[in-house]
Amino acid sequence: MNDSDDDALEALLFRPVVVLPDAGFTAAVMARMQALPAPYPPASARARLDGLRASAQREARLQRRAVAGGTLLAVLIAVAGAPTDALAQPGALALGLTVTGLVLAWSLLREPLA
Amino acid sequence: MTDSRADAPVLSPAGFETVVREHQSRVRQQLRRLTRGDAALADDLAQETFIQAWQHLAAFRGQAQVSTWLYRIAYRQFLMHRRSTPATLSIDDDSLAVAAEEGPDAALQRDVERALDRLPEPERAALIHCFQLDLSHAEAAEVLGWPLGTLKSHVARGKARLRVHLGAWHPGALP
Repeated sequence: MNDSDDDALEALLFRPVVVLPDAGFTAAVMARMQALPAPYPPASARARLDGLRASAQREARLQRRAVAGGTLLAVLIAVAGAPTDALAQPGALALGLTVTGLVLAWSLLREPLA
Repeated sequence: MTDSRADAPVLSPAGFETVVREHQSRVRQQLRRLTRGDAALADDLAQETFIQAWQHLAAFRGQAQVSTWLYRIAYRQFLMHRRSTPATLSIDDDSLAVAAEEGPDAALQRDVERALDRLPEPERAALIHCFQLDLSHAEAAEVLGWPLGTLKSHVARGKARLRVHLGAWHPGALP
């Protein structure tokens, strides 16, 4: 069979049946659909989301520890470098320790917001 | 949602209603072809197709066109139905008589439908999707879940068998 015969056979096959849109069909599908639970993201997507959240929390925790460590180091350097008579002033050491304690407490104990 | 690879599926009933409205004609047409013109059965399977699509909407990643994705679900629904009801569907002879009265064109068309009906199912499905639903070979292969080469060989074999079934017909006989 040659190409023109082949084309003629394909033309014979190509007789589209037009099915017009039917509002009743759409309504029936929507009614059935409303009775079903909403579709949720697949398990893999949920796991990916959980992983991202845990990673963000870890990062926030590390940042807070870095801030706490830096503050503590700064206080230690300041204390080591300060003149003896300045440290002997009433309340100076107590004030420094209180500020350091507050920063440490905020950094280590505060829960991340996200 | 439009029929585009770039658009993400809309996970909302309102968005999905648009999908049903836009694609129902093609899905119902495909299933009517596959069920040999059984409109009621085709519409039942089409409803099931859209329900399945809704339930698995999140899994649609936009790698295929929405219509191809829906055709694929519809074809699977058809296969599941055929497995559960192995009795073969066929065109009834009353409609053949009506076609004969309508003239040579309708009678020829009926002969073609009948010849298609006699093909093995994979060849019939290949010809329906490639010629009657006007999909490209690549799209038809995706819908049917076959490698492209398999689809092409089913098309070639189906056409050869059709010529045998339509033995008396030749291109010059077309009205």
